[in-house]
Amino acid sequence: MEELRLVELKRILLVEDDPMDMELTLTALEEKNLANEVLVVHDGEEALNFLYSRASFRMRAPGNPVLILLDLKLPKVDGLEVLRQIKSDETLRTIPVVMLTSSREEQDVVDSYKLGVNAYVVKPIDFHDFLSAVKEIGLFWAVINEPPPVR
Amino acid sequence: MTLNEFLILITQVTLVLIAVLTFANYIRHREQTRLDIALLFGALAYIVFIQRLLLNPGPNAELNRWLGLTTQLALIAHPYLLLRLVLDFRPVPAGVWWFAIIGLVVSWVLLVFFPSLPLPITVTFVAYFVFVELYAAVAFVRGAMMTAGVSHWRLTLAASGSGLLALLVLGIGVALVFPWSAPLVDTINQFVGLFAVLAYYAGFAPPFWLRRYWQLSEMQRFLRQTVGPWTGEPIAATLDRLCQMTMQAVGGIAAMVVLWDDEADHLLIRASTDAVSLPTGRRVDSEVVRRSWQTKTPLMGHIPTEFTAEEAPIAVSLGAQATMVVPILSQERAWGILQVFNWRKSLFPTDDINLLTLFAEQTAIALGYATLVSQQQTLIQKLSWRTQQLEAAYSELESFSYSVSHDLRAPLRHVSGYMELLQKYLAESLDEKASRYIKISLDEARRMGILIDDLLAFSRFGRTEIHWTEVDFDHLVREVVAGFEPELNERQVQWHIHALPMVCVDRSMLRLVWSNLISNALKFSRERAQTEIEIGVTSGETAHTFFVRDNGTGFDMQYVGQLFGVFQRLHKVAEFEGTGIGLATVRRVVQRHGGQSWAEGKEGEGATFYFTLPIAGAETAVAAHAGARRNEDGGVKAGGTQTDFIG
Repeated sequence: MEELRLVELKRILLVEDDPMDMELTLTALEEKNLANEVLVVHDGEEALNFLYSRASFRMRAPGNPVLILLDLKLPKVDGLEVLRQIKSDETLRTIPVVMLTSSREEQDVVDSYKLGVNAYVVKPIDFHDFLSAVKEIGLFWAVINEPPPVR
Repeated sequence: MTLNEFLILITQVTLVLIAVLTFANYIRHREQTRLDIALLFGALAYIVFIQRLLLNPGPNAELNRWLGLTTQLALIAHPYLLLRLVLDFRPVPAGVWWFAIIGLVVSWVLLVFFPSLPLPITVTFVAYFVFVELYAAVAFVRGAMMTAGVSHWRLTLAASGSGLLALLVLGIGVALVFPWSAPLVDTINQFVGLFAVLAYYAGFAPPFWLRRYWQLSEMQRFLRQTVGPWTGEPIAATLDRLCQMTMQAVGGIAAMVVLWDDEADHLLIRASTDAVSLPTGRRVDSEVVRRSWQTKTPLMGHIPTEFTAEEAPIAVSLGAQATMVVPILSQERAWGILQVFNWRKSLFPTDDINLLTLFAEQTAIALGYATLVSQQQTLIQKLSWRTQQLEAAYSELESFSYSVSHDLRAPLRHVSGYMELLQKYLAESLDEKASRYIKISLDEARRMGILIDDLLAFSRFGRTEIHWTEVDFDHLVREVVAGFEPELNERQVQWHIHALPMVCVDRSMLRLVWSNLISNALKFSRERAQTEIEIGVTSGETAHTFFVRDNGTGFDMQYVGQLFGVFQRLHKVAEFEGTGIGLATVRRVVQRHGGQSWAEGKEGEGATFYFTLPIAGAETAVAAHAGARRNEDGGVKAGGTQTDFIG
């Protein structure tokens, strides 16, 4: 029997399998006081389960996040597949998805845009750059950007 | 001259002509068959000649009577002579043979000793004559049915001649039994005789053009059937059919193709008709084949007299008494031998050999073609194998650089990130030394990040597809230069930028080339009070040569070879930062565009970097464009730098 997670809805969904990257991302968001707004899942399957309120997330609070930060290389279901499912689902496709990844491969960038990603950000190696990138993304999408109206 | 006389004259002249031609033929090639033919027509010509002579008989009546008698003897000898000829190319049953000889002797004896014979005996003569003539005609027909080409036509005509002659003699017999029909028979016989002789002429002494015509039609048929290699048929099937056709063409019992095999260092059977019971790949040692192979000439062999014992197995099992061999030759090489086995020797060997030679030549062409095709297929196979290997290597490289991109960057990011966090966490408690250590760690992590990114770019530009577009280099270079302006701060930089052409290249790749070269020029000239950078082009007929010249530290030409290698540096890192990948990338991109790159320099006096790009079809557009630009010289002043666009 799976453990049920009675999570409340948060504004940002971070899909990240690497605990260190997760910590660094959260540290960056903390500076904009956005860390509390983040729900972290660790692979593609979990992300989809959350979005569709199924399996361990079947009791979660209803509604969609206003931003999804998605890593490309993920265990089980990879980032591109998660993106494909989100963008082909009528109720999920309006959620802005930002790829936050290590890959600079042209193919990955092209594939992501073809699937309808809203932004593609390569994680900078320099922490300062990484910090400002994550902060700006968080600020822009979760604060400045007007989210689609809930229908 | 009446029509009758005219017809007789033509008939007689033709007969004499055949006799002369066949005799000349015998003189040229002294063979039994040719002698028999010459004798056959010699006898007929003799009759004609004496009859002409007796039209104005001499005074000696006894001589006249004897001359007349010899013509009758010569005529009676005709069936026997004809049968001799048939025997040369077909077996004749002993009964028929003895019947002909006895008939001949009895006829002669009766004619010589009994000047006037009763009618029944004369009719018996006629019947004997007609029987042997018809027998020969049938033999010729059967021979014709088994052969093709020239021999086929010649035997058909010989059969027609003999048949008509039999008809003629039959007419004489009818006239003897029913004297009232003599005038009619005479008239008919004038024509029958003429046609018989003309048929003989075409059959036994055909003019050159007629032979060529027959040969041509057979050759066409052969060519139509040997298109195999051109339709992708395996060569073995073509050779099998060739054997079949060859056998039919000369009326043989069997035929085979033996080809030289380099590995076996011997002639081996490669194809044969069913009658040859030996398998393909079997060595061929026969005398006649070996001699033909050595001399590269066609040969005929008569089995009992000219074959060695080694020949026996194939020939004996086939019941063959004669064979013909023709070398298969092309201009480049000798392939092997085409061999046919026959019951008896050919009646018209020259025609058969000529035909076989044509077949052999065609076979050589087919073999040459098949060899080319198989070589080509081998090459294609090799190529596709190589391509597969290459593709595998490529995809391996692809996944490798993906790993580099993704997996190497992550830990580096973590090192850098946590160092930063550590610095922040310890903040005030850090002394100067500890701060320095952390700073160095951060700088090094950053440098490694740049290194990885440069290496990735280098690898990417080596394998991504080139997107060819018309690029205005004037525009591109200005864009790149403008990109560096913010970094220059207080530096005094004098730019001299000449008019540059439109070029068909990959825009992003060439942008990187210019960016790397200009960045280098700026980097190595930053110690100068006044930096001068010149960018220009010299356009030849086939290529543009672009250059970027600076007045920087330059380099020793001794080390020019190391400039363009990956991770190769001529300066210490402390002097000039950089990963040592920039020029390697330049070289790679330029190479992929079909150009070259090199550098010239002198220590302390600056350096010039060159690269060429081949001029494509867009040359005229480029010239027009450059011409239009010539009047647009101007300067751009920004951040204390001076830019000249020189026309």
